[in-house]
Amino acid sequence: MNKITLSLLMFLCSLSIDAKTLHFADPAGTAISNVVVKFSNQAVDKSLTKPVAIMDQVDIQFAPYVLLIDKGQQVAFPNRDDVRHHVYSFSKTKPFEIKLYKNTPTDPVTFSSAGVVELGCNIHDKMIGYIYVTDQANTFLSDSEGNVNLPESMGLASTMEFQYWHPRLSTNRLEHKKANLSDPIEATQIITLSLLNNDASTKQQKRKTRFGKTY
Amino acid sequence: MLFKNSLKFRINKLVVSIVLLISIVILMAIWFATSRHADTQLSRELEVGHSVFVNSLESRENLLVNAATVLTEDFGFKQAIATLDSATIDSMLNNHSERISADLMLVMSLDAKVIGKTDTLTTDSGSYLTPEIYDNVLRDGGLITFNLINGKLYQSLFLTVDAPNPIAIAMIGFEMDQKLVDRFSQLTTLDITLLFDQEKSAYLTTLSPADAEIVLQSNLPLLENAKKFSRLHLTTQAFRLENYPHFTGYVMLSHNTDLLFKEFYTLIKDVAVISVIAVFVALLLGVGFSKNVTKPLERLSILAKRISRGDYQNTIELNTSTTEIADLSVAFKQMQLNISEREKTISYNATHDMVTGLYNRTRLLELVQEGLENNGAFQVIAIQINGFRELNETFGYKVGDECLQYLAGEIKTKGGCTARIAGGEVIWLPNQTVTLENIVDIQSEMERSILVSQVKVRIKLVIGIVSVNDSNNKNSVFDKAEDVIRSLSIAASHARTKSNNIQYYLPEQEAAYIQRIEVLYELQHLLESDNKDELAMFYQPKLALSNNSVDKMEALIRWNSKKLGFVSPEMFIPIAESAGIIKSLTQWVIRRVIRDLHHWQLPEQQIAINLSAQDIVCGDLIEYIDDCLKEFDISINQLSFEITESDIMSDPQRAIAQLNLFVEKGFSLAIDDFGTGHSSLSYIKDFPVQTLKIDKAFILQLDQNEDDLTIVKCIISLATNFGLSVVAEGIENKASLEILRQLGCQYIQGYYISRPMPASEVTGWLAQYHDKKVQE
Repeated sequence: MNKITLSLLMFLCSLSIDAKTLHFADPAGTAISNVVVKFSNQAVDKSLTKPVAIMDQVDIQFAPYVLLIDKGQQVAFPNRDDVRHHVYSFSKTKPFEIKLYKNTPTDPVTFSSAGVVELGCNIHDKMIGYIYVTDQANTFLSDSEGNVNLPESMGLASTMEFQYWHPRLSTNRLEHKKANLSDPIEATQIITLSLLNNDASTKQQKRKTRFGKTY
Repeated sequence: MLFKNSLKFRINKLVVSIVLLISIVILMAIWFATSRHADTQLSRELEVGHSVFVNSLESRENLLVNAATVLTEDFGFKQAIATLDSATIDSMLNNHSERISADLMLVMSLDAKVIGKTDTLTTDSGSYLTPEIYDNVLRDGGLITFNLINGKLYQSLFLTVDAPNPIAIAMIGFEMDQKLVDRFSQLTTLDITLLFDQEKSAYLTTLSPADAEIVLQSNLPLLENAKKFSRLHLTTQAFRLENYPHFTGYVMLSHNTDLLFKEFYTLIKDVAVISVIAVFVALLLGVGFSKNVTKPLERLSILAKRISRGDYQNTIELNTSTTEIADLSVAFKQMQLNISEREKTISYNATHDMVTGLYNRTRLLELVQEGLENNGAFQVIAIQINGFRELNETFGYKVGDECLQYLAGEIKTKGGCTARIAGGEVIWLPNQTVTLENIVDIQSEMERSILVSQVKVRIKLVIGIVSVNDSNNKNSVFDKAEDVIRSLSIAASHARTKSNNIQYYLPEQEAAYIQRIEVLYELQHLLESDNKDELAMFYQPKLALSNNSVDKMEALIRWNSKKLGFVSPEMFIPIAESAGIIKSLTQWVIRRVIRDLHHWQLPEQQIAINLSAQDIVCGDLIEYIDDCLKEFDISINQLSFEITESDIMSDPQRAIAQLNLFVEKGFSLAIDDFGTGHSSLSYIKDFPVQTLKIDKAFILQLDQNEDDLTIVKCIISLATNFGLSVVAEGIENKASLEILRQLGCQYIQGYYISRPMPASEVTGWLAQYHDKKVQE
């Protein structure tokens, strides 16, 4: 049944869309945003000076949820809430700590190694955000529709291998999955993935009710 | 046994039984109610205990989780783990575990490798993080369960260490120790047994080790329903500890049933005491009640015993309020009275005559016996109504009785004692000796016509007198009362033959009486024996006056007893009649006469045989005569019969009917002793006889006595008129013979003709007489 629906969708897409698009969805068909797609065919150009990326803190949440930057790029952590935050990372990619601050802290943080950086706030446990540091030029992030539009310029070829990542793809949040472009290349290639249901906010709730026990 | 059957015992038994029964029922009711209540309370307390236990575990969990969470959320803690500095982590865990009083702590990486641990643990402790726990911890952020580590039970808390996502899992254990169960036991007043696994290898308990061992022997699933351990006074229920992954443990709660039933036992004791008191009170009341009932009964039973002894005078007064007993008492008194009256009647009847109300034979004998024993002189006088039997037969017994009652009444007025034995006789024991003159006066005073039942009866009295202990008469001493009464009968029967009908008892009369007894005995003996030689038939000729020939004779019986000598027929015939042996005597006579006729071979002779009244009414006599006649080949007309007038007159109608049978048969009949038997002339025409025999009393002095002559004349005239022939007997001289011849008498009989002669002499005498007549 799913297969039939899938093929029908693919057929419709190939008719209507010319551009090459990767679509991420869960088995129920819900679109998944914040999926990082990385093609390893071209390294980031170190010579280029990249603008300072912004990881906002709005409504006691990191914004965006996943921030995609190039290796060596700087990130600023402006606090737009009324409360103070204490942003930290224990990730090996870039451990750092910005102790209690308001507004924009003095210096942006430079991320010189590629990898996943988990961001937390020591004051607000439910605040979780990710910075994906990539060393490949053709790295993309799925939009709120779950789509990644691949530019023709990157030199698309059928069966081309790529990696994708999502915070809830593995327990340690670090692992990637590999995939290939379809052969022949379709306009929209659908990639289905299952996400772990271990969101920090729900975990907080569970802990309050003694891990879901009913007394 | 006797006591057991007594009413008193039974009443008390009943009362005590009722009280005991009620007590038992109450006790049982209490038992059921209380035990039901106790059971309910027990299970409720066990449930409550379970809830309390679960709640206290929960609140302990809350405390533990809060403490542990503070630890795992500590930034420094997170930082240390993130840096994977093992030595630092270990020291930090030891430090932190002390801080929150945890008994053990362990940090594992997400791939279940031990990152750090307290000193209480070994390196392989990573095995506690099972895949299931791992998944649940990561999913829910934490998990609480129990772990059995080194034989100790730990309440274990698994928590993620988040930075901000889980980077490790911390396990924090709090030991479940004896202190914990003791505190719980204090809280709930229940004994608690914590069972860490189904094998019962490890447990914590507040029970004594011995009790715990017994309780733990029970099958666990069965214990999930409350089970009683009566011997231990415990009721135990096991509850499974739920919601703990990878752990199967039980909490067993034991309630001391003694405490629960303590009040009930007190209650039972109270009821038992009350029952015992009630039994005693009931016994007292029962004793009172039974006394009330049985005392009168006992007294009545004494009264009944007295009555049975014949004491009718003494009564017993009963003061009883019980109506039934009172009724019984009244009935008893009535019975006493009635029995007394009835006994009076019985004893009156026992000593009195029913008809006259005089003393009876029994009492008379007693009175006479008393007199004999007193040795004083007294008289016993028998006053008989003459012809009492005829009086009864003629007028009925009612008249006879009334005559007797008249007589009794008259004699009573003379004083002394009066009695009646039987018949028309009253016996009088005068207080004072009465002379012959007195007796004659009394006789003449009482002999008068009396009107009874509209019948006028003239009674004649026969009086016999016996004087007892008369100083002038040495023969007046008697030994026994019976002898006196017998002497009196003898005197009275002699009085009958006296002209004045008064006779004093004389010893000679006694001799005559004894002789009668002897005669009877001998006669009976003779008639029963084969040899009757003592008896003989004599024949007395009858002379026909018409032609001076002898063609008739009267057969007369003679008895010459070897013992008694010659016994007159006038003596033994009446005795034979009264003894009822006359029939066999008559049969012997008939047979002997017919046999003699056969020997004689005198066909012209007719022999007359005397028959008594009893002979006539004996139905088979004619048959017997017929048989004898046939046997000896003798003609009927050679026999004739004579019956005394008085015999016929005793029952004339029956006699006539029987005599008619003889006539029909062809026998000639004669009335004997005519003129003395008070014949009613009207009967004569009905008598089926051919001959009248004039009594010799009229003939013996016929030639000298004018009166006799007149009577004889009349009789002959009467007989002639009725067509009867006349025989006169007792002719002793020629003068009388001639008179009779002139008067037209047909036959004469007497010594003048011949004395009675033995059979052997008859033919000789007849021949001689015939010769003499021819010579004349």
